[in-house]
Amino acid sequence: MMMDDETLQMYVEESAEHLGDIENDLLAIEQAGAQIDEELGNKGFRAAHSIKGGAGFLGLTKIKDLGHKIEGVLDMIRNRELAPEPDVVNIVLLAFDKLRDLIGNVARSNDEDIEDHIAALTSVASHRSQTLENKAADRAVDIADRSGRIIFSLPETVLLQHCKGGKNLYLLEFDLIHDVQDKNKNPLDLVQTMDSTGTILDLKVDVEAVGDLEDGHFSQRIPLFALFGSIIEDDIIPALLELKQECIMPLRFGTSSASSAASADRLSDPETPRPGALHEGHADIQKQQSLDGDVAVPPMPAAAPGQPLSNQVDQPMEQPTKAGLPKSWSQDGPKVESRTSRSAASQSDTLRVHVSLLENLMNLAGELVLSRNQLMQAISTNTFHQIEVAGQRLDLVTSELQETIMLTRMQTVGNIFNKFPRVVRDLARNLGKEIDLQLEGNDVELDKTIIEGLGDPLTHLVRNSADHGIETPDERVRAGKPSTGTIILKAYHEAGQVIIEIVDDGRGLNTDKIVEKALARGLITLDQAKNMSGKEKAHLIFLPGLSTAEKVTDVSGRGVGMDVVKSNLDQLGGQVDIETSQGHGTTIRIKLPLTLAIIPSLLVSIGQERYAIPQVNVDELLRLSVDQIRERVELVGDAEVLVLRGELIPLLYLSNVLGLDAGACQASRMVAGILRGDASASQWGDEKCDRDDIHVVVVSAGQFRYGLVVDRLHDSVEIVVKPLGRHFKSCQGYAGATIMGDGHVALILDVVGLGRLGELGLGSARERTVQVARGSASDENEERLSLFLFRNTPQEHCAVPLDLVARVELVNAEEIEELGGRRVIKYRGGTLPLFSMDQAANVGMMELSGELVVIVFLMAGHEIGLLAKQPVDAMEVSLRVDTFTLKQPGISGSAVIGGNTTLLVDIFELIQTVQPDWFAVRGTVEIPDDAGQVGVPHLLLVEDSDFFRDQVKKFIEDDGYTVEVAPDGLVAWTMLEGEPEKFDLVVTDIEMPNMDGFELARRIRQDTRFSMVPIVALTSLAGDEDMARGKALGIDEYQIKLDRELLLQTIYDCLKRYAS
Amino acid sequence: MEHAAKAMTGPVQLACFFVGSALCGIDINVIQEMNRQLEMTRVPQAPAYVLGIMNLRGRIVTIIDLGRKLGLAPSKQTDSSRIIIVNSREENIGLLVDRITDVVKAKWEEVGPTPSNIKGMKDAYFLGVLKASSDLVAILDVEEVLGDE
Repeated sequence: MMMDDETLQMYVEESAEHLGDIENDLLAIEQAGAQIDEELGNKGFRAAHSIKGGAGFLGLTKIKDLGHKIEGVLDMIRNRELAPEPDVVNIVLLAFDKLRDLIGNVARSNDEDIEDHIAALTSVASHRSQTLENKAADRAVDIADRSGRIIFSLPETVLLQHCKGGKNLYLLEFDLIHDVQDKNKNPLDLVQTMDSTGTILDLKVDVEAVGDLEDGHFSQRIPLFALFGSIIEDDIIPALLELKQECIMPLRFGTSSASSAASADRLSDPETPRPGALHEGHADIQKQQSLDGDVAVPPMPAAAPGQPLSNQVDQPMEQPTKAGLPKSWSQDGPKVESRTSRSAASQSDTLRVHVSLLENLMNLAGELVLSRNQLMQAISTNTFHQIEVAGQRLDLVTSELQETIMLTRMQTVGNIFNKFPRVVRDLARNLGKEIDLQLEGNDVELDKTIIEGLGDPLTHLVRNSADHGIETPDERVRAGKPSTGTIILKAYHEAGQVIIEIVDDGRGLNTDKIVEKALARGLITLDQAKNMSGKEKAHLIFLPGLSTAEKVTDVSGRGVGMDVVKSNLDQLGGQVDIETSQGHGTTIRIKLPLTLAIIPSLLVSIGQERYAIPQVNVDELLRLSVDQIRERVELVGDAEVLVLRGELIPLLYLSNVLGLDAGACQASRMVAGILRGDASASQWGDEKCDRDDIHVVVVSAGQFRYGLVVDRLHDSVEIVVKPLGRHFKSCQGYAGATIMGDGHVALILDVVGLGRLGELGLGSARERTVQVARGSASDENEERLSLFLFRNTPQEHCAVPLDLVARVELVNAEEIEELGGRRVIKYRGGTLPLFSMDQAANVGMMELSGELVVIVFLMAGHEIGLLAKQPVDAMEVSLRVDTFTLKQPGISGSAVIGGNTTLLVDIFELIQTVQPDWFAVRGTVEIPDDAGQVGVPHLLLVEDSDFFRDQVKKFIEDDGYTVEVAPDGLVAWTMLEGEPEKFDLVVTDIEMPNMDGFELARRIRQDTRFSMVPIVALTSLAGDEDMARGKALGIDEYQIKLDRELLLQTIYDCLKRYAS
Repeated sequence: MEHAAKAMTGPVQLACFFVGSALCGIDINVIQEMNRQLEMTRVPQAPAYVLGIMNLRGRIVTIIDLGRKLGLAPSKQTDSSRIIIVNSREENIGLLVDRITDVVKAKWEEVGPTPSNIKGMKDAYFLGVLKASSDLVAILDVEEVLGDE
């Protein structure tokens, strides 16, 4: 087999191209059914034909044979002899798959076994013709000679049979006198010759032609007609049978067009050799066959598409087909259409590039040469200005060159999308479902590597959708959905990324079940489960080992898939999101960077070495001074965490993680020192470190989010990613290396890898946040409170409920005035009285210097300010308040927050202690009960927060009332119903579990028993809507938390009002 | 691996160099180039025998301490140290050696089997031993040496 490598390679590539669209074309043909698209049919045929041809030329026998068979079947399909039913199309598809395999492994293709496919194709073809024959059994075909006289009449089936397998049919006219007798031959010899080279279908001595004695013209010849079927070409027959050319009439089955044309053909000039036509009135559409031995040109590759082949309307299947296959396929070279489109073979070493892009590159190369020349010249003349100019030009050209070269790697996403129609079709068949696949955004372009890497994950996701997402037609109909499920594969650009969505309208994900399974497998804890949002629960599906499939099907269900999908996508730098709605469907959204090779990154350094962090992973950059370290870095167990806007972010020291030498660990030592409360820690800042700031890069990737502590931050640069050699396989922390402008090498950090190296477990950052926020004990007595944290003195941590804080202001100590023994400050056009904790409680003295914080509260309808020191923070914490140990006037208790004992300030008490005269003395309203006895009013306080409830209860009681409490509306209602006479007023929160304040109010008002009971709402919901709603439901007074005085006054007023 | 040497015939040229006190040689067909530039970037967490990575005209090349990989003491970088860049499995890898000597012409048939304890190094790393003038050159099996572990 003499195969020139290059020719072979070309053949392989071109065949691959032919095969590229074949699948989709076949599927389209299948869809079209009877309304077959001629062009597609021809296209498929041509593809098989070319492949076969080339194979023959190159000696690839198996490919040739298989191609031949496929070609035959395709021919039948496009001629409408064979219906493109799913079974048939399947066989063809499988055959094409095999052909693709063979071509992929061209060197070994001749050793492959293609028997199964051949058999299948053969049976398809013959079954069809069997059927055809059966149907056509009755029909007889007349065979006429040139003058139109009918010589033979045979059943169609017989004729068809003999036309199969490349046999040609001839009507031969021998003259018994001239051809036989005169040549000293025996008719029997003639018959034997014919028999040995073909099949004689019929033989007849045409006695009529001789004429009879009465006619007068006595023929000099006795015609012997033979209907002869043979593979022998018609240019050889004359020699073989010693017969003149004009006595040989090749027969063709034609496909029909206008029957009038057919008859016209038949009656045409007998001198012009014309292939005989069959009586059925079919015109011969074959190209003129000149009988001087010209090769019949196969009508397809070179033929204009407008051939009469195409205008057929509704062909019933019985129509006879053209006899045999075009004879000369082996003499055709592989017919290849040159394409400049960008359908590149994926996973191959070659790439197809648009010609215009190459032209661009050529131009740019030219520009580059010019710029270089310019630069060289400038250097030689040593003129700085010229060098500058040339340098600039070089810069521009290089950038453009880089961009253009990058573009050559861009391929359309259609390349991978295109294989999905087949995948979905096969899946649908296997699973007995009806699925409609829609593709959008085929033209969106991505880097070649990303496209290649996308194939597997996408396949998996689509299969999942089909398998688990879309329900069976029955289920769908029962659910009121159309029986055909829809899967949409969409690609589009957004914000510098490419988004690929897989949307299905199936049954969606059952997030509860997912959580269950995750819990059962120990992949998450109960705590985590409780805190997850719907999206996070859906995201659990990416954890390894999680499969909620009821059974493992061939397609999916082993629980290995989704995490592999995720890690594949992670490697590509992509992110994946799931949105699901149970019963309605699921949307999976994949976000991908446009390119892998060049990425923007942040340069950082530890000591002398530089490292690059991909920009996509960088969330924030922080610089913390020594003070800030003290305030914002906490120790949780033995790990350091940074408090960032309420979130706890674990700190990782790059030098530690990478195991760099101690010299580079200054930062970590310093911070450790500070956290230990080293008194000398501040000295570290001045003396022992070069700089007293630490730099933290907050990074995130996948589930990791942490702060990376580095020595120095540098610029953001675009770098070219170069892979590290194989000896670095075990290094987790790197994603590659890059060469920087100065020629030095910098390692590119892999955020996920570093996280693992730093032993940050999956999701542990969140866990820690939750844990710490809840304190180390998960106790039911704990509740969540929003607190505003501040300092009284730098060492004293204090807090007030955030709800009470009206505003926080920063003032300068100099602005504080002392008037009449009180401290005040000008504020918003008025005067704001200022207090400090030391005025009531035994705490440190507030130092009035520098910048001070003023926390503004509402008190008895007036605003007052509490002086405080920085740092301040706002936090939601879950804590246990100790109301005993540190209780003092103005301090309601203490709690441990973030490792520090924090004093909880009771602002009312504080002010009351300092300025008792501000607070109105109210008498108690005396309410006569039914028995006519005067008693102390009974109040019902409904509030779900323990802390608040206790607080409010206390000061209401202080005012002389009796208070009973309920933690939510339901309990309150039960209490009210239990003793309808008891309560004189209800103070209720709005937002509560089980039954909220609105509902409670509604019930109370609807019940006439309680018509004399005022309802005061105490809530943080301050919107007009809420107030209106409250009033509409019958709430008498609507109080915002928490102006104590105002509340007490309101209670008093309400009771007074109702009593009278 | 000694069989490999036996299987090969014909002339061979060996670039010889010292690793510690051991005189070794590599078939020059395997060598891409040798250079003196020793500036490299450390890669923390890499295996101990990896000295770092280097920029070789735009490509990132792993530099391996050949002495260490062979089981000898870690190499010191001196003025005579050189890096031999070899081609292995489509990757360029650099081997740091202490001193380069001549290129020796010989025939494979002259190569003898490796003694089992050749100066304390694993004999699997060698294809054989050649006597050249008065010295014994241990011919390195580069692929084996560059094995991942």
